[in-house]
Amino acid sequence: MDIQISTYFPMLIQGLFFFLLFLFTLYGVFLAYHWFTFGTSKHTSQLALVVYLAGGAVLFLTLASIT
Amino acid sequence: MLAEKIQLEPDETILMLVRKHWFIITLQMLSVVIVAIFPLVAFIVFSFLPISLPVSMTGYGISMIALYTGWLICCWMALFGVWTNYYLDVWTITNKRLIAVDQRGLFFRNTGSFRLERLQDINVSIRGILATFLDYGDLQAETASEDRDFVARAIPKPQELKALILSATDKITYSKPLGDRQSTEV
Repeated sequence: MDIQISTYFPMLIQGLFFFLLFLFTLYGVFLAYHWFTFGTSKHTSQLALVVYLAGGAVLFLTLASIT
Repeated sequence: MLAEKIQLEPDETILMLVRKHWFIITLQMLSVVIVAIFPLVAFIVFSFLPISLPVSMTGYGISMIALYTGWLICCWMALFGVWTNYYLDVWTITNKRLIAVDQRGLFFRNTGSFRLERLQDINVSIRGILATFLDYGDLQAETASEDRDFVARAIPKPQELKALILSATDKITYSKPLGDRQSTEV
């Protein structure tokens, strides 16, 4: 039985994509909670959230285009 | 936000917010960036070396790029973890109190405060060439309480901060009637 690992790679990458998306979202929620609850400036917290999401969006779009 | 959590008294004002020196956060973020680009550098180096990998990578190019992008996402998250520790690890100096927040992780933070009239001594230590030239160091505030001392590590311009705290303490001490003052002075 000749099973090639390359057959399962697209599926694994797709699984990785959704796992990372879940992790990124959860982590983002935790971070945003901390920034807006314990942070010292609302403006800085908002900016950090925008940068976090924008950078994440670029990376996830790259990953999505590959998968 | 933090100011609401602190619950400032009616005549209390924030004099200064102090975080670690920019050099410390830059170093920490740089280490994450190095970790992020390490697989790419390793791949480039290996591709130029006259050795062959035990496993053939032919046909896995796209998958490798996907895995590397996944790695970059993890590093992006780590970068914000580092920045969060920096952003939330803050000393708030008001004209009445010193509130120290020691953020050690996302779910691990110590918060302590003391009234400036309980301040006994402040020690500043600047160690090393970089600390001397970039003007950062540790500041230790000793209070009348035996429980704990307050230590802020790698803060910028520690001497200026010490002067500010002492000046605020003096204002409190000398604005009190003589009877009250003697009871708080040691």
